Amino acid sequence: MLFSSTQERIGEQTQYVAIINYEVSESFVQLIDNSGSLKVVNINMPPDESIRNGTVAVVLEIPKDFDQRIKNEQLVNITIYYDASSRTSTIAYSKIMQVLGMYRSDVVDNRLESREIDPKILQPLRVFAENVATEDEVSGYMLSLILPPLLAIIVATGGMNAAIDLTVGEKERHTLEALLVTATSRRDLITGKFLAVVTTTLLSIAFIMLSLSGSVGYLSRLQIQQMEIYLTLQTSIIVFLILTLMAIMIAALGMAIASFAKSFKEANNYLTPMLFIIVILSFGSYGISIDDVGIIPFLIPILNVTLVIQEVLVNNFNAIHMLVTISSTLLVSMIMIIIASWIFHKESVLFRA
Amino acid sequence: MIIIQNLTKLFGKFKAVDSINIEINKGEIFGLLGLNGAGKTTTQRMVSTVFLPSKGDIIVNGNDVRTEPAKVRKSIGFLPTEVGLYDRLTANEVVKYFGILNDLDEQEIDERIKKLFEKLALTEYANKRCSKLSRGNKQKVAIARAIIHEPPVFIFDEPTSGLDVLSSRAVLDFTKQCKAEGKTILYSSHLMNEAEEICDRIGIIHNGKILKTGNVKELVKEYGKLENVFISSVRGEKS
Ligand SMILES: Nc1ncnc2c1ncn2[C@@H]1O[C@H](COP(=O)(O)OP(=O)(O)OP(=O)(O)O)[C@@H](O)[C@H]1O
Ligand SMILES: [Mg+2]
Repeated sequence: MLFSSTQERIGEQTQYVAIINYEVSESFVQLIDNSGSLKVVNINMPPDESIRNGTVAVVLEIPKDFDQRIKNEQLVNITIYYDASSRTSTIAYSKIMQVLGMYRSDVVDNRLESREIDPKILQPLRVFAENVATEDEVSGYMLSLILPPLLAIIVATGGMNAAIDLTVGEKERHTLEALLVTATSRRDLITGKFLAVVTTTLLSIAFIMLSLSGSVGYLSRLQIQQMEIYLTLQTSIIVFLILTLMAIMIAALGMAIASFAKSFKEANNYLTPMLFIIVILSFGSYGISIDDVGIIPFLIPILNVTLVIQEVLVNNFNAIHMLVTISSTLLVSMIMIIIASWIFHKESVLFRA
Repeated sequence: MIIIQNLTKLFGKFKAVDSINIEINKGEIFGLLGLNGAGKTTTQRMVSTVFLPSKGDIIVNGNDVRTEPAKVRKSIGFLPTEVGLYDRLTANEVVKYFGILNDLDEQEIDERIKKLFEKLALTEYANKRCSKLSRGNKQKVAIARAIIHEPPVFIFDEPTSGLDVLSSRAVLDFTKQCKAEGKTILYSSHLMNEAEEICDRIGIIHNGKILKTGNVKELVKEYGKLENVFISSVRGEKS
């Protein structure tokens, strides 16, 4: 699956780690630094802030008498700060856990050997792990991945079909001319059609979201491993509003393309590749970890919508991402509306021979 | 009622209509006669404001199509060649929808539909879906839709094409009745006997040019029948 490759890629990437009291144990810093894909850096802010603003993925806190305690065979407390809603942080967390696990068994082995005891006596069992996460948990996790592109694609296909029907459809049924000679102006005609396309699309989204929250309503705050999905009334409304914007853009795009076409067949010839691109853009979010993306993906229509929805669903709301997404969507919509209405006023395009 | 001056329509470099002049008086039926591709539809579309003229002027009921297209549209009822109804709507609904698009209020629309459907013998089909109607009844619905706003000018583009004898007869009789009520009608056709029966005057259009215009009665007196006028005009042009 696409997602696991993202996970692998984050796994290969280097994550930054800060260690509180790092100066007391050079060997511990070396241990983390030499583990391969973790790098120890300094921070000048509290651990939680440093993680949230992305300076580091995790922060470790070791006691001031770390080396002493190890030597004296005393218990050592280590605190790990991490962000469960961030993929990068979660992955760094599990890497740290691995390194610490190995470190622990090394320490134990050393201690046993110094007493001339075979370390194997401490391993009477070998354990095989089987995932027993319930289906709800997994589906909650899957939902945060699948829902955004799915919703985007539903909006796209619904909007395109309505746009075709209301524009090329009028040409094919030969009803367009009759419409054009009524007292209603062309501007009003295209506005009416545009609103009709947007409304039908929104109805289909509303239906999907209602049935979704009906069936997964009880899972409203699903938790799986460290990932949560927030499908509350509030997030549903935000998602709906973002999709409304996208519906406006798709309606305008569909109408611009479909008004140009002479027949259903021709319109489909244009819109099929268009839909293909939309699907690719929608699933483009799978190749991107929302924790460490720059602003550029949020300038790309559709992709930005799925990313923002994903952010909302994992409660990782980012006002700038939202603003950029809204602006870019509105800009594309406006351009498409201008093109569509230009076509409706341009007889040589509307009545292409 | 309709003044067409020096009217030209270009599609790219192709002249579909070439400097034509026609004047149509109030209360008359003017027949625009021509072969396929002669330029009848293109001319009628320009008069109806669907197309903008490339050159020349059209004044309909005192309104210029270029500067006052909205007023022109209020003055005309345009029946395109293709019936073009919405299959899933009933006859009644289609006409009502266009009444609304023409800014009529609902009560007025209902009264007019009742009257029109009676005149067109459509009353019993009023609540049938358009997809279920015969070709002839579809054309009658299209006529009702075109004139629901009771304009003074009708523009009919080959209204009997594809109809059987009885339906054609009904359409012709209806057209004559409208004329008797004072309507001005621009009627296109390639059927000479039909034109001879209902038109007061005709214009023969060929390759975008008007070859001949004249009073039907006078032309028939001179040539025996309209067909002869047409054939000799078109042949003369070719040779
Ligand atoms: N939108 C258009 N673009 C390019 N050429 C066109 C367009 N509409 C019509 N034409 C051309 O203009 C010419 C006149 O067409 P028009 O439809 O006016 O003829 P017509 O007299 O109505 O013929 P018919 O009896 O077939 O309806 C034809 O050669 C046609 O191909
Ligand atoms: Mg024609």
